[in-house]
Amino acid sequence: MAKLSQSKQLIERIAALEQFVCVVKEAQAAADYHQNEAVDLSIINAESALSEAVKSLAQYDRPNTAKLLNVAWFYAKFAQDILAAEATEHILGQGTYLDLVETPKQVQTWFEDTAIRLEKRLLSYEGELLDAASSDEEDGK
Amino acid sequence: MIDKHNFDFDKALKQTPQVAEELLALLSESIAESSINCHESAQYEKDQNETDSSRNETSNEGVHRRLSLMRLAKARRAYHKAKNAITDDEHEDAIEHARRGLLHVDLAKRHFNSNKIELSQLTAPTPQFAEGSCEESIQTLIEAITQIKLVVEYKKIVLNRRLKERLLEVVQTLQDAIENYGQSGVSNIEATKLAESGLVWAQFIYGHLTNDELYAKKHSNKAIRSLNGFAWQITTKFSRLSAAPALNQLNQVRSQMHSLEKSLQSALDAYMKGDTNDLEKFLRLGQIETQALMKYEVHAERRGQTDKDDQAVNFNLSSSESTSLREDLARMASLLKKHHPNATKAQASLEKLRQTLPQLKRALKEAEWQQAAILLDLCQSNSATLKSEIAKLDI
Repeated sequence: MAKLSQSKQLIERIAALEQFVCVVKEAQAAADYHQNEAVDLSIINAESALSEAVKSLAQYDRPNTAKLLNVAWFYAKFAQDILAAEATEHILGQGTYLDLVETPKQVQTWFEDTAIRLEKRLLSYEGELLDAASSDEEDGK
Repeated sequence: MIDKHNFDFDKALKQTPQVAEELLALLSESIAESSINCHESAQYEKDQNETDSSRNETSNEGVHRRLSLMRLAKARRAYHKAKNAITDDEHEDAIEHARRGLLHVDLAKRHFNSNKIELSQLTAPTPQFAEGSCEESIQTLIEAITQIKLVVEYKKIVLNRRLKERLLEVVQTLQDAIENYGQSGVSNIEATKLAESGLVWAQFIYGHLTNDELYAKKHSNKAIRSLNGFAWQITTKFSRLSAAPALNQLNQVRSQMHSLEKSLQSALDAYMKGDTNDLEKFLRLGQIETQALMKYEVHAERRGQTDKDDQAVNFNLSSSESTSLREDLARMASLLKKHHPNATKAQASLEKLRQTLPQLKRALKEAEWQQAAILLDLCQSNSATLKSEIAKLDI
């Protein structure tokens, strides 16, 4: 069997990875029990890396194309692994899912909670100061 | 002359107007040919579906048709760009667009001829990575994070804030490592170190959850082996100790364990900077603290205060141990810097708070009431600004 040229090998990999990402994306869309933000982000990143890989190959930059395909594979594999773990939890477990990235809403809530925590801490310091002032007054009587 | 039947993407092309036009012609023909095939096949399957009502409606999705159509659409766009470039006498651009278009057509054909397989039955097209390579470290980190997720979900563990934030950091480190690795013309050193540091923290988290080692295979890098060993030791060796509820010195033990965590962080920071001396120094300091903790362990064992491993794990995880306000403000500063670099007012207020809060605490402790009152005013004013600026952020 004739050996494939380097570019042909890379094109084969692009096609295989693109199909892999597509199947992962469909599985994510079908996973109505839980939508994991990390999967969504990984799919977007994998698709973007594949797009860059095609551009890179058109410019004869085969080493960079190979690297970008690895990047796409990392993201796609990560998404697949998360989906597989959550499918197992959905079937065998009690639907307790661990999110691996914070959604913007969660970050916003955390920011607000921390600001409230800070206010409470300052209020407790204010209380300490008021106590000290009142005990000074009592001492002065 | 370009081979129309077997276009060689490896072959460098002469950058001439003639080559540009030949490529454009080839692209035009290829798009037409693929479009006809795709359309005819779709029509055939539609007819089949209409004559056979029992057939699954979605069977014409048996191949990756959507991907094929997407690539054909891209090929058409590349064709128009190439054509415009030829019109403007920009032959080099035209050749690049036409080559890209031909790549899209090639991919469209492959998708059209590939059967679709469900994810559960699909074997990921796994590349073979060299042992000890950057790629292998990133792959191992992906598996480590998934392993942690599986354990947490299987054991129904509710992670405390400290561990949850550590895990979020590990996931962010994976993202950073992949991004860094994908940069064109950049060596893999930084990406490798990022992935390795993620591996160490993943071991730290996994040790807390299972009292076990995460990696079946020892890492080929000696420094990472030591750091992994240290991370495992500090999370598992003393979990029985921190589970000794009657131990009088529990707070002291906890504080010493946090100190060990800091030593691990410092050792990793030194590794990232390539400072071998500091790396070894912090590992030695960690060992010194470990020795001190072992004394508590022996003491607790003598008094029969330690319990079964299961209880130890539960104690560690269900403890209300959370991050301190100081740590949260530091995290907020880092998140603002990274995601909201233009939120200068919020950043400035936060920075002032991080400076004045410890001063206020000290003033209160030393009963310097006047100074404390001034600092409290300052903190309250900055806190109010920070709160209103946070509300304005578009997160």
